[in-house]
Amino acid sequence: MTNPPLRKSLPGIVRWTQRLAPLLVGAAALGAWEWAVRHWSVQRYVIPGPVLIAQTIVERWDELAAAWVVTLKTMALALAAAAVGGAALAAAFTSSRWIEASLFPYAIILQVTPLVAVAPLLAMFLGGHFELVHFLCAWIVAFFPVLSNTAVGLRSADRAHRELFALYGASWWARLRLLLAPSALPYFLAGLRIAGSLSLVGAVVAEFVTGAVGDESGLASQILAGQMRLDTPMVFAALTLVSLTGIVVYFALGLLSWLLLRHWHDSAVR
Amino acid sequence: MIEFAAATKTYPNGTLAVANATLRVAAGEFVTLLGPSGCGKSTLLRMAAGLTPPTTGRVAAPWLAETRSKEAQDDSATLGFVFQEPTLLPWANVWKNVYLPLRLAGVRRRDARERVDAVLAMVGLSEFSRAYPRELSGGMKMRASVARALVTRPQAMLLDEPFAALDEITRNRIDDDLLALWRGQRWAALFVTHSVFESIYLSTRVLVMSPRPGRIVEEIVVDLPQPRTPAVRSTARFAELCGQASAALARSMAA
Repeated sequence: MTNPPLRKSLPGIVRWTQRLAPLLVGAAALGAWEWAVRHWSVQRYVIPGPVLIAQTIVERWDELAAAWVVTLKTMALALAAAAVGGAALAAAFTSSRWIEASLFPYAIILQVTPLVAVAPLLAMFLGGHFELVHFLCAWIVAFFPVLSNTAVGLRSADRAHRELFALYGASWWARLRLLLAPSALPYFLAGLRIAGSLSLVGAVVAEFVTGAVGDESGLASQILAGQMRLDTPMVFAALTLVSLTGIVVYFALGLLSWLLLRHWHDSAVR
Repeated sequence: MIEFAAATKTYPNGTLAVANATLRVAAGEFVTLLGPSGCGKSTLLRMAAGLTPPTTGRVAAPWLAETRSKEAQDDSATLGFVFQEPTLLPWANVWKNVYLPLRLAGVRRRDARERVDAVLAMVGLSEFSRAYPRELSGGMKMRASVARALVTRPQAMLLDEPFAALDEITRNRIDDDLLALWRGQRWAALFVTHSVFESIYLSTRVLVMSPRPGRIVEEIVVDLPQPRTPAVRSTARFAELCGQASAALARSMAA
């Protein structure tokens, strides 16, 4: 009972330290890692230190950047398609129980089948179209959270609001646009946040499965190639960029959510 | 304006909510349905609005599709409905909330501006047109809700215990403002409340309802002078009418 007031009364400096704490932990861990690698003279192909990883990122930037763009493109396209497709299909569900009943089971099947098991099939069927396979894999995993969240959101519109719209003879489209869509927005955005991380996972998994090389090789292909060549610094460098991408996307979608909801939704209003 | 002929509402679970309701609300009248909670007042109002059809009997009003004649199918056949809750859209500011009925009727924002601004001024919310519902007090939300109902210039207003959740001081003030609007615009009003004082103060006629099943058991014609001011509340006639209504309510509960 006394905890919340105590937290609020913390002086500013303590709060700032609290915010910095994760950064300090990270810095300390990296320092310890670097020290350990040097102290025991660990071989660079076993575990490279953070400094060497940073060096690798800088020195081999051209290679890494090209791969990064490939992965980013797959991910962005898949996320966009998941957002549009998920929302559109959820909207179709609200227009007819029949559409929902006949399509939803397949969306679930798509979701519960492990992606690693589906990806080889896609690679077989689509042969050399690696980009398409990568896109499809990332889309399949990113699509479902958007669909299921938006579907719930569209159904959660307030009953009195629905009656208000019925009273004024609102068309199906007006109801969807002015009532159901705004009601579903917080749900949709929560789904999108999950989809953001999943589309990255999907893109990486797909690259692993297809083992694409050349122009179509993304960060995961770099990791794979690095593993074969015992080029461990490169593996870590690519991995760093993958994590960084995930973090940035997560926070970017959080920011988007806050911008859209800050005036009215309890989750965003301080 | 509004006419019920032996209208009955039975819910799918077998509950008889309204039994054999016959009533008429003429243009310019202010009629109140007075009764305890669960007596079917709201159901009656929802039937009048066309939100739910009667199981048997007939409900007629200009805005109901079944009884609406072809030539009357225009803007003039409108009603305003004020719900128990403010039911404002939380993602839209006050201006957009009040504009909503016009928007659904296909009126463009440019053409609606004057009307929305005017109705906001009527309920005293001009300064809050850019505010979001969560930033308003309970009374202000209800005012916005009333403004939204009035913006289509309705022929009739249906109000479902609109101010029940407000404190008495705020409620009395809003009641006065509502009466002033009614005097100026003369829509027919069908008002639901469980407050004896509110019903007598506002109405030209009070219909007392009994619970389970809901039926109209008594009618009290309120002959207090117009326009009514808060001073009316301390007159002997007001007290007498309130006494009559309370007694009728007590009889309906005992029956």
